[in-house]
Amino acid sequence: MDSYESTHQHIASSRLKDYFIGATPLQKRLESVRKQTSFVPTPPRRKIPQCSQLQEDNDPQKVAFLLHKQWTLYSLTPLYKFSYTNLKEYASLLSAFIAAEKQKGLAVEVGEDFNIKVTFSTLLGMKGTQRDPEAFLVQILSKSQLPSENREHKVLWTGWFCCIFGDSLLETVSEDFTCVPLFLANGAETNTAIVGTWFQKTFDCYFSPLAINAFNLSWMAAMWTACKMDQYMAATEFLWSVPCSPQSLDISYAIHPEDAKALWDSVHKTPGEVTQEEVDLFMDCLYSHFHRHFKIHLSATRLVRVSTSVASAHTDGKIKVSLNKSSYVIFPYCYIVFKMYGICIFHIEEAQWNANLRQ
Amino acid sequence: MSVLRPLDKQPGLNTATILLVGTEDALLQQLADAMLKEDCASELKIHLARSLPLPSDVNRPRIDLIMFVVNLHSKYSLQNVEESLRHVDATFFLGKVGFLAMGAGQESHCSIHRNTVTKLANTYRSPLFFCDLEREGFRATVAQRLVRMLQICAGHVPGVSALNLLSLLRSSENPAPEDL
Amino acid sequence: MDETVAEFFKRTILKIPMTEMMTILKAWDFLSEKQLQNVNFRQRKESLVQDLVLLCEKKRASVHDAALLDIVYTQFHRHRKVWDVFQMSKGPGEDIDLFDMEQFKSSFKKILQRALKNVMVSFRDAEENAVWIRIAWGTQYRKPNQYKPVYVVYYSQTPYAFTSSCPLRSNIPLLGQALTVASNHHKIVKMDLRSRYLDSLKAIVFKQYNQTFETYNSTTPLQEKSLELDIHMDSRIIHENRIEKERVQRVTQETFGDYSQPRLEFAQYKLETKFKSDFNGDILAERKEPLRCLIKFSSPHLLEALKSLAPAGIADAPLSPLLTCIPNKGMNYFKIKDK
Repeated sequence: MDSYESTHQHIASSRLKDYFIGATPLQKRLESVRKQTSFVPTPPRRKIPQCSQLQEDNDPQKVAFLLHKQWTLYSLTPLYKFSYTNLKEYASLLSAFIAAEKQKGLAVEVGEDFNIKVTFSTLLGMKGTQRDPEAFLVQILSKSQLPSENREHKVLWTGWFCCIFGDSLLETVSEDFTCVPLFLANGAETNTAIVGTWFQKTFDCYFSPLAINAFNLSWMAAMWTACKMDQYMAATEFLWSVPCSPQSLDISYAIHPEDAKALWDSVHKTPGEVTQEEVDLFMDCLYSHFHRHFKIHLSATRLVRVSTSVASAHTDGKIKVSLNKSSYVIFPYCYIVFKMYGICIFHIEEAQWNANLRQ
Repeated sequence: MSVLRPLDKQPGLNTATILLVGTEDALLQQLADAMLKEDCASELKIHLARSLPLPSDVNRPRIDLIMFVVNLHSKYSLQNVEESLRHVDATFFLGKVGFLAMGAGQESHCSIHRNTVTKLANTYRSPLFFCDLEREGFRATVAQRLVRMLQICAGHVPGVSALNLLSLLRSSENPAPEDL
Repeated sequence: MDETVAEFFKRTILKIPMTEMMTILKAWDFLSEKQLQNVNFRQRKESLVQDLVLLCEKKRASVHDAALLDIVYTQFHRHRKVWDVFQMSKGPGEDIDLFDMEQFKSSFKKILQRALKNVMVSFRDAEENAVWIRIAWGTQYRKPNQYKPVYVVYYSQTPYAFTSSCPLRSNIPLLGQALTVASNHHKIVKMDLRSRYLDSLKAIVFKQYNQTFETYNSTTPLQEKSLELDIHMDSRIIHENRIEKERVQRVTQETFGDYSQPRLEFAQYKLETKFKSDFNGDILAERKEPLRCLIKFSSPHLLEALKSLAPAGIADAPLSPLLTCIPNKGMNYFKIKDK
C-alpha cells in the first residue's frame, strides 16, 4: 500500500515537475515564449553566413529556377505527419484533389489522367543548418494535349516550403511534426488557395500571409546594398508611403547602387556581421540627406518597398531575387537567399511571439 | 527653455495635471478627450506637447505625470521622444514618467522594433504600455489607466505614491533592467 | 466610305462610354438632333456602334469627321493623356503682330505636309481662343496612322502649346518648327513640366492658379475659425505648442496661398549633391563625388499633399523651396547639383 502511494506520488510530482520545466512540446513552446519576453528577441547583430552548406549540395538548376520569380510569402504552422518518403503519393493525391476542385461535383479517381500534373521534389541544400528540415518544391504542370509535342510540361504554379536557420522554432516542435515555416508561392492565387486547402486538410497546418514590416525591409535593404557586385543592374530604390490626408503621397528614393554601397561601407564597421546600429545609421543617413534637400522627415513615413540589383521586397509579402544567371555563378547567391529567407523566418518567430503575448 | 522639474511648484487644489508628449497631434487630442470623459474626483488638466522643452514664458500648473507617446510606425516619433527626454529632470523618473507605444497591433506597419521601446523605457526606469489609440474602445481603456495613474502621481489616492506604483508596475509587468 | 474609314469610326465610337455617348455626339455636331433621336441608345453597344457607323456612312462622313469626333472624345478625356508644355519666344526686336487663326492653321498644316507628305492634321476650335489640333502621322510612303495621333492645344497669341506625348520622337522637332513658324515665334523649348491635368498646366504657365482664390476665399476663414474653436474646445486641454502650430499654419498659407493648388501628379528630382552627415562627421567624408539620387514624388494631387505635410508634422515649415517653387517656376522635373 505504502509503495503504491509513493509511486503514485512520485509520478504525480514528476508530472508536476514536467509541467514546470516544460517537458511537453507545448510547454517547451510556452517556456521559450516566456524566455523571449524577458530576453531581447531581436538579434542586435546578424552574421553574414559563409555559404558553405548551400553551395555544396544544392542543385544549381533548381535554385536558378527559384530566382527571377516573384514569390508571395506565407507563414506556415508545422506539418503533422509529413514524410519525405511519401512525396510521390502526395503528388498524386494533390493532383486528384485539384482535379476534383476544378470540376466540383464530379467524382474523380485517384491517378486518373487529367490535363494537369503535380510534382513534389526536395530542394537539396536549401537550408541554414544541418538541423533544418529539407526544403521541398511543389509544382502544378499542364500536360500538353498533343502527344507528339515531346510531352513538354508547362509550369502553371510553383510553391516551395523551407526552413532556414529555424533553430528556435525547431526547438519547440515534437517529432510528429515537420517544421517548414516559410511557404513561397508563384502562380494564380486560386491554385495557391487549393494547394493550401489540401495541405491544411492533409497535414493539419495553417497558412497565413506574411507581411514584411518596415523594420525588416530596412534590414533587407542594408544587407542587399552591402553585396558587392561586378555589375549593378538596377538602382537601390526605397518606396515610402507618406501618411498625409486627404491626398496620399508616395516618395521613391533611388540611389545609384555604387553610391549606396559607398554609403554602406562608410557606415559598416564590424566585419563579418551586420548590426542593428549599422542598419539604423544607414537609414538615418538616407533620412538626413533627404531632409537636407526637401525638409521632409522620411522617418515619419512608412517604408513599403525596397529593391536593389540583388532582390526586391514589398511590405505586402512579395519578394523577388533579381540576380541573373551570370551573376549568380560568380556571386554567392545563396548568401542573398539565406539572408532574405532568414529574415522571413525570423519574422515568423517574432509574429508567433507577438501572438502568444496577445493571448 | 528649461528642464522640467516635478516639485518646483505648489499643487493646485484638487488638481491633477498630465503632460502628453508626442508627434501624433490628432491622436493625443483624442486621448485627452477620452481622459476627460472618465469619471474622476480630481480636477484634470491635460497639457499636450509635440516635444520638450516647453515654451518657458507660460505659467502652467505643477505637472504630476508625463507620458511620452511613441508611434511604432514612425521612427521620427521615437527620435522626438528621445530628444525630449533630455529636458526632463531626473527626479521625474521616480514614478512620474511613463511611455505609451502605439501601433503594435498593426505589425506590418512597424518601423520600430518593440524591443527598442522596451529598452528605452527600461533605461529611464519607467513603465511602458502598448496601446492602440486609433480605436475608441482601446483608447478609453488607456485613458482610464492614465487617469488612475495620474491621480496616484498627484497624490490624490490615499496610501499609494508614484514611487510605490512604479515599483509595483516593475515587478509585475516589466522585467527589471538588470534582467536585460 | 471605305472600309478603313468605317473601321476608324467604329473604333472611335467604341471608345466612348455609353453614359457619355449622347453628350459627345452632340458636341461633335455632325449628326443632326433629329438623326440622333432616331437612334436607339438603349441597345447593346456593339449594335449601337453599327447603327451610328451606318448613319455616318449615309451622311457621307469623311475621315476628317472621324478625326473631329476623336478630338471631341479626347477633350472629354484629357486626363487620360500626359501633357507636355512647350514655351516659345520671339527674337529680339520682333513685334507682336496681328494673329489670324486661319492663317495659323493653314501654315501649320503646310509645314507638316511639306515634310512628311502623308500626314493628316485636323483642327477644332475650343473655348478661350484655343485650338485643338490632332495630327495623325505618316511618312513619304505610309498613310497616316489614325491610331497613334498626337494632340496639341494652342492658345492663340500666347507663347505656350500643350502636347500629348508623341509616340514618334523623331517628329517632335518638326512639330516644334510648325508651331513656331505658324504662331510667328522664333524659338521653342520643351519645359520641364508635365501633368495629366491640362487645365492645371495652363493655370501654372499662365499664372492663373492664384486667381481661383475668390471662390475659395469665402470658405477659408470659416475653416480657420472652426480650427481655432477645436483647440479651445475644452479649457482643461492645453496645447503647449499652439504658437508653433499657428506659425506652421501661417507659413504654409503664405507659401501655398489660400486657393486650391493646381493639380499635378508627380515631380522628379535628380540629385547630384555631396552627402553631408548630421550625426557623424566621418560618413563619406573623404568622398569627393556626389551621391547620385533620383527622387520621385507621386500623388493624385501632389501640391495639396505637399501643403499638408508641415501641418501634419511630417515636414518643416517652410517646406523646401525645391518643392514650393513648382508652380512658380512651372517645373516638375529638376536636376539639382551643388553650387
